[in-house]
Amino acid sequence: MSTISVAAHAAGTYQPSLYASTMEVGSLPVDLSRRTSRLDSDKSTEAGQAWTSWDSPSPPESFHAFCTEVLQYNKEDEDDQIAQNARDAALTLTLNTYASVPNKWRSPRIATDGGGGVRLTWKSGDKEMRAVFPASSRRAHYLYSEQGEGHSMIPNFTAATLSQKLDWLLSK
Amino acid sequence: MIEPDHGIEAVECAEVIYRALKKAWSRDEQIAPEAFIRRVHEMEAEEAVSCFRRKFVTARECRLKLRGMPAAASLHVGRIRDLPLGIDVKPDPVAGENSVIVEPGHCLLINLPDPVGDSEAAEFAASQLVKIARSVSQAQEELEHMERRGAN
Repeated sequence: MSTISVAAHAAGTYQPSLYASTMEVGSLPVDLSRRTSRLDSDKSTEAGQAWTSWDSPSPPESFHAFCTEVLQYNKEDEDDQIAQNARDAALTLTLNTYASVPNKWRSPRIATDGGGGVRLTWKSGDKEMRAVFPASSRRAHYLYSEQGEGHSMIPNFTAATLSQKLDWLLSK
Repeated sequence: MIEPDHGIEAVECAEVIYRALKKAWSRDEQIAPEAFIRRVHEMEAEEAVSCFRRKFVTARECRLKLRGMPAAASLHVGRIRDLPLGIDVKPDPVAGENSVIVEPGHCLLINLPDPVGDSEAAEFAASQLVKIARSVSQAQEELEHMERRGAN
């Protein structure tokens, strides 16, 4: 079974089919699993609970929960599926972001664009950031951010950019 | 029996429309911007976003028409038109056999930016629509449905 490894993929190289859709929580890499306390803490983004928690630092298991939610997303609704290409791209980039600045990681809200792409949304106060990974490899992934009426977009963003933007999001 | 010409008339500013929301678009009663971005297939975006007019359809009927969506958002048409983005709502009744209109409440959010050609504009427009949209609570939905359709 495939696994993901922070060390092996920190360089940000894209590897198709890196993440098996059948991957279970227990099959996530050891280095991530060690940061996880218990599985029942991995439900922070389910309906009825806040999907972001900015008042206190997010625990390390937040990233583990995020990976689990992405990997199991397609089991929720057969009419709203994430394409493998988009899922792999989103997980690779966020994994590299988490590997570089684990203490700044916050779990985003996960959704699709309705056409197989992945949309990750972070929100803090009047700031909002959306990382979009289209299903088609012919379309560029992009990072959109806004504060009030101001907004910007960075196409083909890297993990380093996402790290910087998480900094911006968390700053007062 | 639905009158054949129902739903063809222009959508007035005083009207309210409903947008059905997927599970991932309506967590914690926060409406996700994805709800107002034109759906993309490969490299081509759909022309518009489907909605329903409250004058014909309740919020419950709106979400149940689309394979049982879990929630719905409401928007005032006048407030949509007030946005300096050119977004509008036009009637789009669905006809069945013999061209008889079977779904008079269907309408379209039009002039939304193309998410393939201008992603930034599409995201910003979606943000503006989220700001004026309201999530319909279960209690509001039940009350509306009861008032308009009765207990059954």
